[in-house]
Amino acid sequence: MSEWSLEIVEALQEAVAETMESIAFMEAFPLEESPADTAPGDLLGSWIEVKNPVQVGLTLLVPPELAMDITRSIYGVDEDVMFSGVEARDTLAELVNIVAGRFMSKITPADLTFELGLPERCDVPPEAGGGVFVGVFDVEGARLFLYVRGNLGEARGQN
Amino acid sequence: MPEKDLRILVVDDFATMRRMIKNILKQLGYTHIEEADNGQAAWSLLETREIDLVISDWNMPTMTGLELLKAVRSDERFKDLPFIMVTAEGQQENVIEAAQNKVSQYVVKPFNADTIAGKIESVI
Repeated sequence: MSEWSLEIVEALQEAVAETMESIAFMEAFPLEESPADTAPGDLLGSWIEVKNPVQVGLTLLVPPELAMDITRSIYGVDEDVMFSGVEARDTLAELVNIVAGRFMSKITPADLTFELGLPERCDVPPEAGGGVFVGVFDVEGARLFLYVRGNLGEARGQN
Repeated sequence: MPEKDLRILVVDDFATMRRMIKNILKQLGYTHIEEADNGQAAWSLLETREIDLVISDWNMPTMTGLELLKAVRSDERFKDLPFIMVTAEGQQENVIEAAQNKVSQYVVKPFNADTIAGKIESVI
């Protein structure tokens, strides 16, 4: 089974959609496009490492305006309220944390434990190459990018 | 003590999550809410304030939620303090470890107001 099997891709898409809906009250629709199809420009993001039994990295990237919109939604304030970069980065860190947890819970057998590291600031995608999957999502007209790097077969108890 | 007079300590290293939990608690009618951004700061608050319920993230720097829980349960003053753990890691082993350390309730992110309300009702 390819490590980017349909099951894993769907788990990733569900994790993003569930997180965005529950935390930010926004819908995230998966798109059949690559990041190269869009002009991402400057992005803000957060990276988290999944430790034990694998090393998998998830990087979430969004345009600054979307980070601000998500933060406003979480805080429950009007669109004219501006937050500092600190709150917006907090938001992204928490989002990638929850997406990682949801995603790993879906693909990891119940009797296997995974451990999440602490989210870190990361504004660029991982280097392109083997073992990197990228999901592109539409969130209220803006793009959300989620990169996943690692051997997911190990996460499923397979070697 | 009337339920809505509960003094609740929210512990999370991310301000966004603390804000979200506070918003939910306020929606539910709870107004006495303290905050801490890590387990160590939470412990300092526990020693100086009257707290009736702790809602803590699991994964934090300096002092994790699990470490805070262990410290709380090993202290005679706080051994029966209701403690709700909130985490993105919802695997069976994590739940078992929290239960072994006498967590009162366990919530997996993402969650909503109904989930939090139900967990609070079950521990108070």
